[in-house]
Amino acid sequence: MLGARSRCFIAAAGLLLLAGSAQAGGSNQTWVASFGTDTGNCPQTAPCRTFRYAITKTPSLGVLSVIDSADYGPVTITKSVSILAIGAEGAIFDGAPAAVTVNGTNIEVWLRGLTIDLFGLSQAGIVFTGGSALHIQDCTIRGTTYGIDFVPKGGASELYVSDSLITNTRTHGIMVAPNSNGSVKAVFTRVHVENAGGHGFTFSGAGGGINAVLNDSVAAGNHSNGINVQGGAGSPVQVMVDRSASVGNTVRGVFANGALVRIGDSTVTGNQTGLAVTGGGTIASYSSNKVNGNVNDGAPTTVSYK
Amino acid sequence: MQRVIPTLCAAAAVSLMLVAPALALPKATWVSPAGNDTGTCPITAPCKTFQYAANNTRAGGAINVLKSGEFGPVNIAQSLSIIAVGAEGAIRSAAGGAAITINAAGAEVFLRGIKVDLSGTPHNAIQYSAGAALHVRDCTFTGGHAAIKFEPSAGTNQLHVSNTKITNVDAYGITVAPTGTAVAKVVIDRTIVSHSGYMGLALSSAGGSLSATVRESVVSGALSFGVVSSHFGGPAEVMLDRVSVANNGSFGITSEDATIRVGNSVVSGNLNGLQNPGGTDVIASYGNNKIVGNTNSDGTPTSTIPMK
Repeated sequence: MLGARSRCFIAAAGLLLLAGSAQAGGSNQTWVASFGTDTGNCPQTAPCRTFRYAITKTPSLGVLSVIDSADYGPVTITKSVSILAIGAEGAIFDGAPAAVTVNGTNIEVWLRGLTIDLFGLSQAGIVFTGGSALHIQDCTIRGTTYGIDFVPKGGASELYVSDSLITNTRTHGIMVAPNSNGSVKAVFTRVHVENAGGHGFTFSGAGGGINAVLNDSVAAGNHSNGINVQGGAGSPVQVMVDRSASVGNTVRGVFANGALVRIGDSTVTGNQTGLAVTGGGTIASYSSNKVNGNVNDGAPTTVSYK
Repeated sequence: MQRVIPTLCAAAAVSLMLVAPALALPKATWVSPAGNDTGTCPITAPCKTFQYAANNTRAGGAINVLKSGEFGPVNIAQSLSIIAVGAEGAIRSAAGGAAITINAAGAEVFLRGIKVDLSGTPHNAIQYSAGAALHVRDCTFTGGHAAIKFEPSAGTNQLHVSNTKITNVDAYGITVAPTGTAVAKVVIDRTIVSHSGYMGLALSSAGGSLSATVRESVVSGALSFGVVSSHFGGPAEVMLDRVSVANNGSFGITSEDATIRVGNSVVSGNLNGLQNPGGTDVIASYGNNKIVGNTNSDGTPTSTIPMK
């Protein structure tokens, strides 16, 4: 717990540093509040009411902050910006085309403290179709189609998710699927995906390559595979699962279909099948995993020591 | 005229769209200690109690805590979220034996940031009798009989608890007991259960079946038992991964005909470490636990099983 807090603090300090130069000028920081109105430039003394409006007044590299709890509506982000809700509920309860859409060129976006619930609507929580990096921290996402749909159209993109919870999505909790000519590096730290209608975490290399790490994360009670990794199109897809758990999923705990999964210090239990591969896929184990209590435990394909 | 007709049609369509939601309960409602239990609890006119707000929130919707306060017990009869972020959503009393009652087949319930204090009462913080899934995140529970009593009698039921703290309950921290045909799938992560009056975690297949994973958690200072799993009826399988079971008054880990697997965990400072009287009791170790420093006896696992 302390470690998590320390990391949060460091991340927050980093954000403040990022925001520092902006605040000095007085214009790179915008604010929204439950009592705000969508006029002017959204200074703290006259906050705005919606993310959609405030984002237009937030310059590139700026910060949009939440003053108090409220539903601030969906937002499309096309520039480098941070949206921060700290000590307040920054909610998004509507989603057209998604609760949060990130689509830019070479942009880096931070999202912190958002509560997204689309109540079973037919939209995704956070959709990323273009940019260099997306950071998601302390967010909860529920009742969407995909929780996070990370599908960059090209170039190299990075996804960092930490201390976040995704539950009760209609389809996959987290989908990573770069289009052709794209590639993704992704890191998930202390991320839970619970009771998704499809897979918990799913990675598809049908378009571009993927290098992902799950650290201290949990895929539980999902209605297909907990961690689903698919290669394709000759693109390397490799996922490292470390100190994580894939438990109680309806189909498989960890599934490698034409892709490489490395797994260490992790727990795979309570699934229909624990470990499974097909299509030339590999599950390489560090011989430190607890794989018992599945209807069929399965086994890693190779063992890796270092 | 050709331009007017489409305009009228559009206007009619818009008015229909505006009218339709007004007939339904809102998907998001708000509570505040300064609120009043009238209307449908929009953020501009928040309500005062969880129960009134629950009765006026659409199935699958969310009650949100606007400002810290005590919002009273709630009986949840449909899919619902109750969310307190950046504010304290407190419950300090019970109705019908529990602060939060969940008895709705098929319901998905999500609780975040809720603080229940039932000190001095014999009631439960959460009593779950029916539903599909209960997610408990960032909550704290103090006092009362049990913090979470998860007792489904039919169907598959998921219990997910994370980043949660349970202290000083009179009897059980978390007790899971699926009866009849019920299947309970449980995950407890980064949760601390300390100073329970009887048992920290009581994970049983009480006629139904149970599969539970506890990870990165602490069960300490229970007056009697730390972690107990009992097999009555269907299978009871429990995985303990990086769990510290410490300083409990009688036994750290107890298997009653259940299968408990333990890895990377600590069992220390208890009166006795492992309790597996024999027969079909299983406490299987992955051979990488620290089972040491228990007062009377550390106990021994029934078997050592390989990791993969």
